[in-house]
Amino acid sequence: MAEADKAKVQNGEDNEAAPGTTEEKAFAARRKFLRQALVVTSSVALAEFLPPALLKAAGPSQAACPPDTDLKELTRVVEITRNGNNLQAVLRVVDGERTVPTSTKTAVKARLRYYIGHNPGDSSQSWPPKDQPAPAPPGPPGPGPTLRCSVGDNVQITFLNQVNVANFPDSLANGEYGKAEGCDELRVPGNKNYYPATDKFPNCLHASSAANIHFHGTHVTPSTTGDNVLVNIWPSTTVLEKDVQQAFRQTFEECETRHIPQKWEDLPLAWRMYQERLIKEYDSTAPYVGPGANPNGRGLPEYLRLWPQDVEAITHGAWPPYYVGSYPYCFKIPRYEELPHHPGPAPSGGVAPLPLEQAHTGVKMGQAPGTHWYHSHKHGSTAINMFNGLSGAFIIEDNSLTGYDGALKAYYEKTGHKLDQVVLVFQQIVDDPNLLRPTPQRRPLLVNGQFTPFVKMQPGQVQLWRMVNAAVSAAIAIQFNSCSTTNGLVNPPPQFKQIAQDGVQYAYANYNKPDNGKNPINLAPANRADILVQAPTQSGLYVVGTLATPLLFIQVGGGAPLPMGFPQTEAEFPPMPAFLRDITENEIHLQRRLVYGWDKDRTAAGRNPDGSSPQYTIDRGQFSDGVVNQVMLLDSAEEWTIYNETSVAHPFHIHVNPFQIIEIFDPNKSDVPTRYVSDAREKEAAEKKYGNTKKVVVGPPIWYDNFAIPIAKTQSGKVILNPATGYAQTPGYFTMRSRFVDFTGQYVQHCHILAHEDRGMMQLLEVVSNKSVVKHH
Amino acid sequence: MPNIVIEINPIGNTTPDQMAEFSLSNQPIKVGDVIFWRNNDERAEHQPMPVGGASDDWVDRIARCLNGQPATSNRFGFQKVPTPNEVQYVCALHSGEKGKLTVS
Repeated sequence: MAEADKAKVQNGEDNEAAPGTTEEKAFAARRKFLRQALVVTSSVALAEFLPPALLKAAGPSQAACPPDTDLKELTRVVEITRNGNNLQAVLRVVDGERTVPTSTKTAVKARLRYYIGHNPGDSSQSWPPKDQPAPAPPGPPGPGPTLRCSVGDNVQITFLNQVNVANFPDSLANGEYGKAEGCDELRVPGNKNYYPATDKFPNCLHASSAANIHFHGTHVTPSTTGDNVLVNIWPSTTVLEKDVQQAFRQTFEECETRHIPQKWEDLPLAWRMYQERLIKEYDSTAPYVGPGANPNGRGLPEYLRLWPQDVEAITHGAWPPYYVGSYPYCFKIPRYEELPHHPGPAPSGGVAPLPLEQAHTGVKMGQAPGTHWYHSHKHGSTAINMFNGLSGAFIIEDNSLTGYDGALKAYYEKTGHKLDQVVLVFQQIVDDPNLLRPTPQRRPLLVNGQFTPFVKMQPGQVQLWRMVNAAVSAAIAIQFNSCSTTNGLVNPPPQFKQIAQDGVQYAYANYNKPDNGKNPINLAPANRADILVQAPTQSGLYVVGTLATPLLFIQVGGGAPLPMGFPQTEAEFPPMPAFLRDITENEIHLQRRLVYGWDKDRTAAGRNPDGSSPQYTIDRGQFSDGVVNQVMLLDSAEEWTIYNETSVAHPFHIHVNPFQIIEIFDPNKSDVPTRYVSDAREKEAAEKKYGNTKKVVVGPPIWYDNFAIPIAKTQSGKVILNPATGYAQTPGYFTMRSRFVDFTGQYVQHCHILAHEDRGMMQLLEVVSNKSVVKHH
Repeated sequence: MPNIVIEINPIGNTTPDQMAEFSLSNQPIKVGDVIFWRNNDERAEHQPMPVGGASDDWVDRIARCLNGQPATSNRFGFQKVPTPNEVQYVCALHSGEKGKLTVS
């Protein structure tokens, strides 16, 4: 294994391997090293929390670059853009054998599920491109098409799951075979229960040919046809776009002109009848040879059938969870306007029906324009589906004069330049998670489906890089180094400035901090970062990452240096939207404490002697179907402290609303937590309040939707336990504040190391109305 | 380490002991590969098992193909090279259906 590849095998799923052979032990040792090296927190602003090993790696490096001929230019993924105020796309999940690069010169073949897509209103927007000669089969892997629209737009996506299940072993809940109660199975000689081992349904890897879409980073309704990850779309190779076109057109029009569907009956009758037929057909023909099976081995017993579960939901006024072949995603991306706030949704306890004129304006917290993304989020198969590549960038713009995009554009146009954008989607692409492999697999990081491609830049040019860490478990350190010399002297590396985190722009004060652009940007799985990158004036090849662990390269050349630069003053930088004002202590309605943990008495990741893996938990429990773990009041702000009792930096992610981090404690780096405050006045007050028990730093606090929780205090890599409780003596933690505004409904918070989420490290949340129709007098 | 699929294809001249055959009667595989069987036979279920082993050592019974929709087995693989490295297997339901895995 090349050094570069070794370094790309990252932490996070370290529980999955079962060390045994020499190669496996070497793999485990590398993982141990990398766990130490790459346990990270997010953001350049928080670089002080980086472990020493990573900081060491982040220093200037100098070595020979690979020959240019070994590298390929970065693939620019086709974008599907808005038509008027509508983003219309057809996204299909299909499968096929792909050639997955493992180095610049090597590749393996793998059968993967992946996205293809097109704009039904513009045939030039098709991914993979229609106008390019198809590569010799099997084609490359990679993300789905990039979606790009603006705040205020209507998103209308025809989603088709056309996976051929016959190409994937037991991928529609193995319970159909009457074993393992629904979990995927892997047997090895002498062990019929290699997987699921001790995992129990539904917190196990299962039903990987089912799919759905999470619109990660969007502030939209989590209900019905919105960012609803509680629906499961079973595959069908016979359901085509034309079969649902008319019904979905009707649904989209309803979403656009009135409101999104609120109950099953709001969907077109023809599609509802079609779904009923397809689901019943699946129920009566799915393979099943377990207890009570039909003589022909086909047809599910009553308790496993999907349609009765849908009927039960519909009967109770809830949204049905199961579909076959197709699903209409439609929702509006709220634009924040300084208008009187709406009176709040009706107290239905479910979807929030609002009159159009109120639903589309007057939101408390508009969508933050920025780099977001979409990915498959079916519980039990998020890891395998993301490993297959089921993710893509979702860019939401605000091109108004004071908007994020409009202001940046105006700054560069004023100086006669165009700001070129580069969208980088980092993925780890393999066919299965390691828990479903007899031995661990290498999982190199790919960029837009390529192994260390290069980006072309002109000398002095500034580009906007929109980066998405869509890897299942790998953390990424973005840094720039030089591998070119001029007259025997090392060329200075490219310069950069971070301007947004997780799709939310920086406040100018954070952009303008002296350390912005000096430290690596650390992206945990699911983090995004926007950076302005400036090419050096010397032509040559430069590396993103280190030469030992390159992520991609920059090839600088092709003309005289461009006189571009970074915004220098507050007036030149996009102003912070009013809805992203800091969340103050006075706003806090409730404080909560959540604990990300694992089994009692456990001190390290890795498999148990009996082959089972750690049971990852939140508040000492695993995800439980139908149980709401946290209930928040609409239009309230809360403060959550999220602890980590393990030695794995679990990335905490919550859907729908972003959060501001106000405090971080990494017990392996510091004796006291760091508190982030808005300004000097607050700093003075905080220092008075906390004395020397907290280090106070003027922020303002950065917005995230995903943050790697600092690990518990360890010694020699093992968590120091409190002997009285069997859990960590000193957990790491961070404290965040979030506003639960605009949308009622159910959604989730979970670990974004997706094998952990699949295996139960997730909670169901519900935001409930703060209004009542009942008069009490 | 790709997933390897072994087809179970129906044959014309059936006997009570043999309804189908394995697409690759001598399949080379590597340690770490994931293997599964895909039943294309509309007439019968099948269940590959190691000769001398138990019927469910490797996979459960595989349902019949229906209307051109095959059924797949669960996953199976080797963590290390067995001794000998050639492993004979047979269908638990039809003793005339035989195959071999050569593990390296």
